[in-house]
Amino acid sequence: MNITQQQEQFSIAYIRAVAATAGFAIGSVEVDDDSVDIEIRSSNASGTVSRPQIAVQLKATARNIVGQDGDIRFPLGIKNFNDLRDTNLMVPRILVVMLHPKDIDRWTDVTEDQLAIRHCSYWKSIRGEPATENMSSVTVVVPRSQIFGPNELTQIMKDVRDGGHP
Amino acid sequence: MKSRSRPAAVFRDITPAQITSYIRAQQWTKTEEKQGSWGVYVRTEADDELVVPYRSDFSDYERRVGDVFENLAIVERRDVSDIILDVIHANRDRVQFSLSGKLLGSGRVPLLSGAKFVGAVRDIVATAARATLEAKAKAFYSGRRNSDVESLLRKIQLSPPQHGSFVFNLETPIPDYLQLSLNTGAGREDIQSAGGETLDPDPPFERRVSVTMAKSLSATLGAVMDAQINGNRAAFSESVSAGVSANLCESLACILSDTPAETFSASFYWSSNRPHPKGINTNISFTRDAADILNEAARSFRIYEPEEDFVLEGFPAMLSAKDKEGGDISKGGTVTVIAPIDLKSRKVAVSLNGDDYSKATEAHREGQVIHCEGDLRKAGRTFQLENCRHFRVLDDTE
Repeated sequence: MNITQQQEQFSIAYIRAVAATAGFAIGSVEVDDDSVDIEIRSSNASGTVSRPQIAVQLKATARNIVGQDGDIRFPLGIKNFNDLRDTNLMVPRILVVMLHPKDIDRWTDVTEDQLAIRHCSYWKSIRGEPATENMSSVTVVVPRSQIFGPNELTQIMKDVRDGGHP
Repeated sequence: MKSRSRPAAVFRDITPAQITSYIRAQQWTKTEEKQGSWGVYVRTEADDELVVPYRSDFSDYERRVGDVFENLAIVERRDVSDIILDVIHANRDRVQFSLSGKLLGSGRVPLLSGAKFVGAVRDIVATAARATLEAKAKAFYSGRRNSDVESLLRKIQLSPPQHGSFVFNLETPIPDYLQLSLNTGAGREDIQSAGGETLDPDPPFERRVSVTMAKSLSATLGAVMDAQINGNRAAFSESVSAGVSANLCESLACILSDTPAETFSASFYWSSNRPHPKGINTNISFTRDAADILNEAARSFRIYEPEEDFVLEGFPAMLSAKDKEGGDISKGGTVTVIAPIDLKSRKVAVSLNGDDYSKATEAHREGQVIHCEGDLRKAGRTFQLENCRHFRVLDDTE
């Protein structure tokens, strides 16, 4: 497995852990060129999908992309940007960016007491953002306050369930 | 990030109407809706729900349709591919025609055999359509197909062949079963059978043709077996009222003789948007050894059974011998008419009453064409028109 694949699996593992803690299921992983890596959904005892449901574009980086104001500045490819800002979606999409250490040995810490995953993922909705004239990428500002954790995911899903958007 | 599987492109081609038509027939009911966007359907006995997109222009339409099929596969405990077929066909009657046999192991047939097979299937459908339109079943149908039959043949579609033996499907769009009352706009009550099943009180022509086809194929198979096993020589003529005809027998014989198949099968699948017909055999198979008896049945029908309601137009070429010598024509007589039958000029003997015979004698002298209707029966090399009616002499403008 190369480093990119490891990053991918690591960020998916983070999402799975958060979703499981919040009581949600994970749908199948989709191709990246459609800007959807994973779907988070409710599910019934039978295993069927039910509402609410969100689609998540996952990104992971070890680079220092935290700006001077403390927020994360992630360079998002134009195609991903346009797919995520689409307002004509039945299921809302969000961007989740995981910041992790450069040293793989520091990605996780396992003791009898806990499994620690470093560092953290942050989420942002860019639904409805205006189009850009950039040709290759757009810098998306992801607030450090929007940590992607179980409580935050629960609130996101509640907003969607109530007919709103993240 | 690395690419993985995409949603099946087939979901893009499935319409919201197809989905909702199917799930309504499976007893899912709508509990919630976002006007013009999506609807939520549930089944009372479980917590499962289906969120059906109403707009196929959603950017994530394929995925949302995929979610619906994912749930249906879990609830119905079937493969998604099988459910897709049922959904696509929810508003269609489907007849699967297949050939099987050792020589068809690769699923291929010679071009000429394949063309004959498809042509024979077309004729089976056309015969069923003609039989559906007739008030009384006939032993054979001749002449041109009427506009209703032609219109139906244009509407029916051939779907792509399936893997395995040579198999293709005919799909007939079936109009939805609507519950409408002209008086109040309220729903009318469904007509229930004694067993509590919903019956279709007014099936459309397309559905009636599918039913006629199934019944007549089944009756033909019954006649084949009755003749072969029980030696009942009247098996076929006794089954005319059930839809057996020379046309159908000829089509089946063609398939069994002119293709490499050892078995020909027809399976019927009813559209789920109307109550299903009951008590009909929907899986019928003929083996190659039935070809000879089918050919003989067709030949016998054409020879011994009259073609009813035949329209005869031709020149009265000959009169009864005594009338040529100036005999009494007031009591009627027999006239021989030269008329086209099956694209060839034939002699048809017609017995007429005194009045009509007098007109025929005049037409013979004046070289005019006569018109009448009756039951055409073959008698050796000639024909006879029985039960002659609506006799008249055509004037020059007709």
